[in-house]
Amino acid sequence: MKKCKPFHEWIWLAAYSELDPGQQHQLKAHMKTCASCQLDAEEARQIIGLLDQKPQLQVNDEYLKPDREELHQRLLYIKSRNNTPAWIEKLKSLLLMEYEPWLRPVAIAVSVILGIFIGSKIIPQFNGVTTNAVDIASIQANHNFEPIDIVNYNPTTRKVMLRVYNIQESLVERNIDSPEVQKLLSDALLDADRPNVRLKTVNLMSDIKSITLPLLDALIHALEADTNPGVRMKAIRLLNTLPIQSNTKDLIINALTRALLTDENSAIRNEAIDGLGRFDDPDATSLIINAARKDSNEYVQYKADELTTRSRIERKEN
Amino acid sequence: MPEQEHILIAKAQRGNIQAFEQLIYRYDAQVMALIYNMVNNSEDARDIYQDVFVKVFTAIKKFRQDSKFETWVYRIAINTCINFRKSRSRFQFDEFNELDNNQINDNARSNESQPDQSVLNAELNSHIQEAISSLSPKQRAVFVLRHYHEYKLSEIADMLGYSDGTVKNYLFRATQKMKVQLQELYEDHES
Repeated sequence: MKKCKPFHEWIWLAAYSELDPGQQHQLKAHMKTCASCQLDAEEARQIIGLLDQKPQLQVNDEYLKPDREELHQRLLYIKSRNNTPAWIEKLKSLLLMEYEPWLRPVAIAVSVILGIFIGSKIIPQFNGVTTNAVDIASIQANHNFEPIDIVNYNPTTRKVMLRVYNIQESLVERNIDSPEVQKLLSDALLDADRPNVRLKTVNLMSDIKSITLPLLDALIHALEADTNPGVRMKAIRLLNTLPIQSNTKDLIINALTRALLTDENSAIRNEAIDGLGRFDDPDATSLIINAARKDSNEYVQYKADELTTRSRIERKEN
Repeated sequence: MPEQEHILIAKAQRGNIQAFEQLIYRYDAQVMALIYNMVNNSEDARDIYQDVFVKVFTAIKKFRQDSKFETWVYRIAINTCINFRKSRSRFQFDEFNELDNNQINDNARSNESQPDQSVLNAELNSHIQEAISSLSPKQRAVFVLRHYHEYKLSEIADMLGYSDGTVKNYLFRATQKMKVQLQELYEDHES
């Protein structure tokens, strides 16, 4: 029996035609004299025959139609999000030196030097730490300042720098979690003329440990009223990541509800469905069911339907 | 045509969705069948199908054509299924989707003229499903690819990034496990 041991695996490999000719020859020779291995081989053949009887899913174009349609929508959505101009792609591949890796250090050095040079020309005011720093209380006391036009954030030091106009140009630098900065950030979100500043503001808000109510209000206002869809998208994504707390829950549900019902951008309505799905709230659920039936965009309809079905299944499982 | 596939890949790498779709429609039916064999649930298979091809779309720029596109897609599909199973421990057979099971059994029944035979087939199918579900994800991947998708073990090794020896070992262990599971049935079947 001991001499049969190496042949046990070979018998199965032979049944799947996976033995090389040499092994096949050895196995054949052994089997001529070994009744036990002959039985094993017969058993392997029978079991493989049994496994062959499992019906296979018949997948054809008709079966795949809904999956392909959904995938198409997803790809369009991904492409619209990653629509970087061709010149940026070229620059990226040049910097990553995909074709000439040995040039990478040179490219990095050139980029750093160029970056410092251009940076010092365009935003000289950020050369030092804080120039012309002012007392934030005095800024806030005087609301006649012009909108904030530059927001910069250093995640390592957790410091935010804002350029504020208050009779004269002032640069403010404070810790991101300070209430004063949160007040200025809500001003930036509501008043900054440049969408880029508003976008940056929403972006850095994700690093704030505890967002104050006025800042949350400003965020919701941005979701509802900002003319730039990018800002609205960032705002709703941030709202969807905020922890659910009893004092802000209704505010957030209402904001998401309005976004789902009124935002013209289907991607934002999609995010609203995601956000509402986080809440175990009957109104939110009926809203999602409604969106599954009536939203003008098919992908939003599908997503709402998917969420409704999933929550129904989960409820059933529980 | 390999040339045509090259062209489609190049276009897809530049973000051309139409070319990408043309490319994947050559394989997506097999991929869907593979996913289904891995997870035994059509709803989950549909979800994984989306995940797989979104991953393929986002990663196609990194595809260097060192391996066959088909192999690369299968590798992504298998890894996605394995990760999906890891994240969803409910994928054990004891919670196997009743609906799917019934559906397949109904299909089995509809192919049979004699009711007794159809019940036997449904039971047999259910036992086979159970045996396959008892395999570890990697054993199952190797077994499904070899048995139901008829890939050679060397191709499977390439697909999964294992050595030939490891793949042989997975297949052998899978068959031994299923042999034990199906023993009773096999004896019944014989008698």
